[in-house]
Amino acid sequence: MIPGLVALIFLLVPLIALIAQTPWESFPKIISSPEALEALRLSLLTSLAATALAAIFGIPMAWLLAREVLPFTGLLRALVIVPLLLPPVVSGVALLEALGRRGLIGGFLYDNFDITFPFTTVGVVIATTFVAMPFLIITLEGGFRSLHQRYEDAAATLGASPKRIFFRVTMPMVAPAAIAGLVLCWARALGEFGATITFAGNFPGVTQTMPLAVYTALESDRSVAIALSLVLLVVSVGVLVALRGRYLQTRAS
Amino acid sequence: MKIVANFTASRGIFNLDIDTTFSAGTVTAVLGPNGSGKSTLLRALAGLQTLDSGEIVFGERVVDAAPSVHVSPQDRSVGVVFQDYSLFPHLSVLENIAFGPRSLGASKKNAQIESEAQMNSLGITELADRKPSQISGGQAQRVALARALATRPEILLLDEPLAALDAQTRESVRTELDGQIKAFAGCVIFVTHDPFDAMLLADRVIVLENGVITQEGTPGELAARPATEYVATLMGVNLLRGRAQEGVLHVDGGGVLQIPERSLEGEVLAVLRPEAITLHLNKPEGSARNVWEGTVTGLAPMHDRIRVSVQASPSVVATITHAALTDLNLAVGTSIWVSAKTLNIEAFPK
Repeated sequence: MIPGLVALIFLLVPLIALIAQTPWESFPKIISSPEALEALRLSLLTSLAATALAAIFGIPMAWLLAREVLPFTGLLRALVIVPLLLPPVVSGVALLEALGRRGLIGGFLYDNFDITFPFTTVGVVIATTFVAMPFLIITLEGGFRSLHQRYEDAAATLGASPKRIFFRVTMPMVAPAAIAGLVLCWARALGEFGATITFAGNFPGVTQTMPLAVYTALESDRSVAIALSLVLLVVSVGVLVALRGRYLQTRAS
Repeated sequence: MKIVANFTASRGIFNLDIDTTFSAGTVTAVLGPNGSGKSTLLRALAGLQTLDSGEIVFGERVVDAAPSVHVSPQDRSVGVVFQDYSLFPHLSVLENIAFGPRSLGASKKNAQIESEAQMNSLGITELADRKPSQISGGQAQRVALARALATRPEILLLDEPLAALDAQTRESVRTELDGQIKAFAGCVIFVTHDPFDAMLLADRVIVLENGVITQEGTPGELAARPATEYVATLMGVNLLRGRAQEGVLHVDGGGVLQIPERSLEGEVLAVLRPEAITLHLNKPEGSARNVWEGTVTGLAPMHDRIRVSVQASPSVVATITHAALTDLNLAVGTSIWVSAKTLNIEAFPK
């Protein structure tokens, strides 16, 4: 029991310290400063864009994995999860090698179309999507798997097209898993740091998202870093509350 | 309309080999043990299972001809009532039933009119706004049937339509279902592992064992002349295989019985009803020509009788009354004499 309580204290104390150290008098001024608002705007924009991309491409991918449509599904599932386990800075380096100006694909795009991703806002979206999409895929794949195929079969015999089956039967039935996956994906995107700073750099107004602003502020003004951190903490707690049905229950009924 | 099904299909390591036809206005039961391929047969007819070879023809229309032709389930005009009903849990009863007509392009209004007509004829109008989780198993069965019929299919397939119900609901739902499927003008094919469902609901029974059809016929024909041990067991009769010669049956595995048909020659099957067998503690002397000795290996109560399994040459099952059980003082291991009148053995060519 004691080691368990130690774990609890260990996990809670830093959060309490953060709240305790928050400079409440200057808090409104700090978070309404142009720099902070710019970082917040950029964070919301890129994290929502990354979540949208993850939804557009990740939901079909989760379905393909769950229905084992493609060969080597087990291997594919492992590959999809790799970015989840990879140190984010490694993801950033990998993205540079793929999409950087001299990268595998990036070189071609730069040479022929003058398109560059690193050190742009689009680069931030790419980096966060890379890191966050696996959260959506693995959560939703579980949802698709637990949905018995016979509902889709029943819809097919009733004359529904594959598109109608997907939007009217499959997606509504996995809605809880889809929402959980999207929220987890968005929370991960919002907190993304390592891949972003490596691939997209740290330029205020262009690639400096909230976590990067916190990191930058630590070197100049500690109270700013704490205030911005608190904003991110509040968002995380908000996500937890939103998903309480999934994670706050002692046991699924 | 007539359905011609002549194909092979596989699911995993399981192989199904089918060659039969189904006619409109006929209710066919596909009867077989678990894992015999019943559901795969139904899925193939519905278009949910692709064929390895052969074809399926609905009337004039080839819906499957492996490997080139495969009409998708959407375009087959087949209504399916799935095992456990598979009602969409996020839709109301009305929306479940309207799903088919809507999918086929009906306007919202027309789909609702069609659905209400189906609900009316099945007596479930008052359930329209409920979710599937808020209705009983018997009601869910009717909703599933209404949903399948709302697309006006030419063929109705039912996968174990009564298996999801408890014993009490089962009786009443079976009676209702009997009326509902008899009123359907097209082909009705249902899958079951329960001989009672097959006997009571079907005009014709197809017996499927290990992926092949082992017998087809009316329920009466199956009961009178079971072709396999599985059917004989389901019908509660003893089935003996052997060779007949001049009125004597040499049973495979040992034993010789007198049979009434003197003209039968070669491989035959013989049915011996359990109630036509008499058990004796001592060797009986009487008119029964067939008398042989054995050991009791099992006693099982069944309704008001006892089924006695006797290991002998040949082994048989006999039914006796409780009074007889008491008189004979039978137990597992008791030595017993079995007798059967020749006229009670019905032999027929294999």
